[in-house]
Amino acid sequence: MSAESIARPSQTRRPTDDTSRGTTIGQRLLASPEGYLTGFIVLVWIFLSIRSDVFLTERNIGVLLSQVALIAITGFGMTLLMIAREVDLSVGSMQAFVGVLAMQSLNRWPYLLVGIAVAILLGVIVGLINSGLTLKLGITSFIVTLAMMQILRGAAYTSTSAAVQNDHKLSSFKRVFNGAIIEDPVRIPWPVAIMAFFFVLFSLIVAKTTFGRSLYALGSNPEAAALSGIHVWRLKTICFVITSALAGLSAFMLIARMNSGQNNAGFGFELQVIGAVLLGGASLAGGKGTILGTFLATLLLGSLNNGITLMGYNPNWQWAVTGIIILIAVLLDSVRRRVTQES
Amino acid sequence: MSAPPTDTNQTPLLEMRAISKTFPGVVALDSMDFVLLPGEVHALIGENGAGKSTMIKIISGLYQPDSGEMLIDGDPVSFRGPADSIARRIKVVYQELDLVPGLSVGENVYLGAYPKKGGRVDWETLYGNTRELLDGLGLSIDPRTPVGELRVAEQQLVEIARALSQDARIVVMDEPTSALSTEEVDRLFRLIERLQERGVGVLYVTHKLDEIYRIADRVTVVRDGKHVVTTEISKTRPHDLVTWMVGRELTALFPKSTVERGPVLLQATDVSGEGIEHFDLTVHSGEIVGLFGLLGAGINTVARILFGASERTGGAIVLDGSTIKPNSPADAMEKGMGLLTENRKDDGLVLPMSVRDNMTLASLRQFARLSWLDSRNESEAATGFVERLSIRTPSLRQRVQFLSGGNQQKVLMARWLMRDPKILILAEPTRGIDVGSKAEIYRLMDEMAQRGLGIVFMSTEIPEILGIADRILVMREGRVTAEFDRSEATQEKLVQAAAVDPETSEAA
Ligand SMILES: Nc1ncnc2c1ncn2[C@@H]1O[C@H](COP(=O)(O)OP(=O)(O)OP(=O)(O)O)[C@@H](O)[C@H]1O
Ligand SMILES: [Mg+2]
Repeated sequence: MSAESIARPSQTRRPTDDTSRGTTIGQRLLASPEGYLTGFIVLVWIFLSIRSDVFLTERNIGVLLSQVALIAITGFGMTLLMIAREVDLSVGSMQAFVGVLAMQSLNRWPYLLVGIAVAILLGVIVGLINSGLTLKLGITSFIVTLAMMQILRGAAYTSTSAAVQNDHKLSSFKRVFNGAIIEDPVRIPWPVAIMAFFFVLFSLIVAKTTFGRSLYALGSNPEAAALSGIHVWRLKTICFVITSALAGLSAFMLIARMNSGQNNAGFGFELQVIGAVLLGGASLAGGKGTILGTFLATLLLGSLNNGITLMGYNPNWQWAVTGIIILIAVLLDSVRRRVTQES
Repeated sequence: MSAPPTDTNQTPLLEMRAISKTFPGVVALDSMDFVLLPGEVHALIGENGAGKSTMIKIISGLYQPDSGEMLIDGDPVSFRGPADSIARRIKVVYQELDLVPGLSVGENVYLGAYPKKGGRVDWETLYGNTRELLDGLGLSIDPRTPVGELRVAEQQLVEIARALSQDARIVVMDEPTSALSTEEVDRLFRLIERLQERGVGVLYVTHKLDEIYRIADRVTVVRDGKHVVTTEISKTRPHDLVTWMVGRELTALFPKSTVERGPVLLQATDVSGEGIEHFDLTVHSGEIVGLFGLLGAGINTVARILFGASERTGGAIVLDGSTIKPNSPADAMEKGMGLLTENRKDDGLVLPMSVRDNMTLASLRQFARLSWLDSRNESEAATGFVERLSIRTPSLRQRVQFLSGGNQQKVLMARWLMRDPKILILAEPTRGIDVGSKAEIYRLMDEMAQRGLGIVFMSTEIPEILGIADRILVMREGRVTAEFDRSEATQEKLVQAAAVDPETSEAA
C-alpha cells in the first residue's frame, strides 16, 4: 500500500451497470419516446376497437401493417442517417423515379428478380451520389438531397408522360405487396415480413455492433469520433446508401401495390418518413434515435390514418393529424427532459 | 477544527447553512456550510467530484438545493433561476465556458444587458467599454471578433471580462486559470485584487495550490460534499490542504522511476503544418518526452499533426518502423499512437454517451467479434479503469455529461490506456484534475514508461514537466528552441527558452 494508495477513491463503491430510472408507471412512460409512443398506441387501439368492429380483424391489421411497412422500411434507413446527423429528402421522389424505371425494366425483361435488382441498384446509385456530393463538396445533405428530390421527380416526369402499365403480367409481381409469406396460423403479408426482417436486423446493428455505437458517437460529436479512429466518411456513406436502397425496395413494393409505375408516386413520402423518425426520438442534431422508436412512430401514425378511414372521416385529415402528433411529441419530449433533468 | 474565524462585526455577503443536493445515485452536497465575507478572496478546494461546481451552481441559481438555507447579506434567499442570482449582484464564471460562439466578444460580454441609447443598442459604448475591459486584462483582441474564432484561453478571459463588466458584489470563479498562461494568470490576479479593494467577495475554485497561497485569504475544503474545514490560508501548509482534501496522507507526487531507454519508437522528421515548421521529434521506448511552451507556441497543433488530426504539409513520421499516413487519425491509431486532446468537450467526450461507451470508443474492435460487441467484456474493462483511476460515477451507464470535470478527463485517459498504444501523446492530461488524481496519472505514466511505452507529454505547467519528463523540448512560435535533459532542466531555463524574443517578434 504505497504508491497505489495515492488516489484511492474516498467513496469505494463499485460502479454498477444498472440505471436508476423512474419507478412509477407515469415516469416509466415518460422516460423515453418508446414509452409514450407505446402508451399512445394502446390508447388508439383500444379506442378504435371499441368504435369499429372492423379494426381488430386479421384483414384490417394486415392492411394496416402493410401500409406501415412502406414507411417504416425506408424509415429504418433514415433513422441510421439521422443518428449520423444527415438527412435524405429524396426518398419521396425515389418512389416515382425507381417505380417508373423498375416497371419499364420488368416490361422488357419479365423476371421479378430483375425488377427488384433494378430498384435496389438505382437506390444504391442515388445514395452514392447523395453521399458523394455531401461529403466531398461539404454541402449539407439537406440541400444536396433537396436538389436530388427535384431532379428525380423531374426525371420521372420526363421519362414517361403517363403511368407505366404492367405489360409483363408476372403472376408473382402483385404478390410482392398482396401475397403472404405464411397463411397459418395468422396471415403475414410479404411487406410485413420484410419489415419485420429489417426491424430485427437494424435493431441489432444499431444496438449491438461497432457500427451502431460508432454511429451514435459520430452524430453527437463528429470531431471526437474521428479522433477515436472512426471512419466518419465511410460510415456516413453506408448510411446514405442503406437509406436509398431501402427507399428503392419500398418503391418496388409500391408499384406492386398499384400495379403500375406512376410518376407522381411518393409525394410527401419523405416528410412522412422523416416525421416518423423524429417522432420516434431522433433529432435533426444527430446522435439520437432508435429503430424501435421509428417503428412505433410509424405504427402510431398508421393506426391513426387507418382509424380515420374506418370511421369514415375525410382521409385528407391524415395530413393534419400527422402534423399535430409530431407537435405533441415534441412537446412531450421537452416535458420529459425537464422531468428527468437532462440538459 | 471547522470554526471559521468570522469577524463578528461583518455581515457575511453570502452564507450557506447545511445545504444538501442529490442527483440520481449521487450525493453531491451533504449539509454543506460556507461563509463568504466582504473583501475576501475565499478559495474552495476539494477532489474531483467533491461538489465544488454543484455548490457554485446553487449560488448562481442554476440548481435548487434539496435542503438547507442560503443567506445574502443576512437575508434568506431562494433562487429560482440565474436571473434571481444576478439580481443580487452575483456573477459566476463557470468551469465550462458558456459563451455564444457566433456573437462577437463585445456582444458576449454584455449579453443580456446591452447598453442602450434611445431604445436601440449603443454599439459604440458596448465596443468601447469592452475594449477598456480587455485592455485591463492585457488582451489585444478586437471586441468585434466572433468568440468562436478565439483560442480557449482567450475565451476564458472574455468570460472573466464579462464577469467584471457587471457591477458584482460577489464574484465566483470555477477553475478560471485552467487554460491561462502565467502572464494571463498574473493579470487576472491583479484584477481580483482590484475587486477585493472594492469590497467584493471572491469565491475561487481551483486545483492549483500555489495559486491559493498567492491570492486567497481563507480557504474552505470540501470532501464528499461535506464541509471539512475553513481556515485562514496563512495558518496552513500545502501539505495540510492536501491531507484535508483527500482525507489521508499523500505520498510522493511525482513517482519517477529510472527506466532504461529502449529503441527508437517514434521518429518525426522535418514535420510542418499550420504554424509549425521543421519539427523534429524522437521518442524512445520507455521514455517520457516533455514538450513545453507558452500558449500559442504551437504545442497543441504539433500534437494534432503528429496524430493526423490536423493537416501535415510536409515531413515524415515513422512509428516503430512503419510510416504514418498524414491526416488520418485512424492510421495513426492503427500503428499504435494515441492522442489525448486538450479540449475534452470539443473533441474528446461524447457527452450523451455513457461512461463505459466513452471509454471503449477508441477500442471498439477489441471488444467485438465480427463487429458484434461483447458488452459484458466492455463493462469489465471499464470497471477496471473506473477503479484504477478512481473515477467517481454512480454507474457505468451514467452519461459522461453528468460527471465532474476532473472525472471526465479521467474517462478520456482511460479511453487511450485501454488501447494499449505504443506511443501516447498527452496534451494537458492533468488539466482540472485534483492533486490525488494527478499523482495517480503521473504514476500511470511512469508505469506505462516502465512497460516500454513512449510518451509525449505536453504541458504548460512547468513543475509537472520537470517532475515527470526524461527529456524536455521547449517550443516557441512553432519551432523547437531548446532541448534539456532531465538532469539539467530548471524552471528558469524553460521559461527563458519559451519566452518570446522581443527583438524578433512584435506580436507578443
Ligand atoms: N447534473 C448532474 N447530474 C448527475 N450528477 C451530477 C450532476 N452534476 C454533478 N453531478 C455529480 O455530483 C458530484 C459533484 O460534482 P461537481 O461537478 O460539483 O464536482 P467538482 O467538485 O466541481 O469536481 P471537479 O473538480 O472535477 O470539477 C459528482 O459526482 C458529479 O458526477
Ligand atoms: Mg467542477
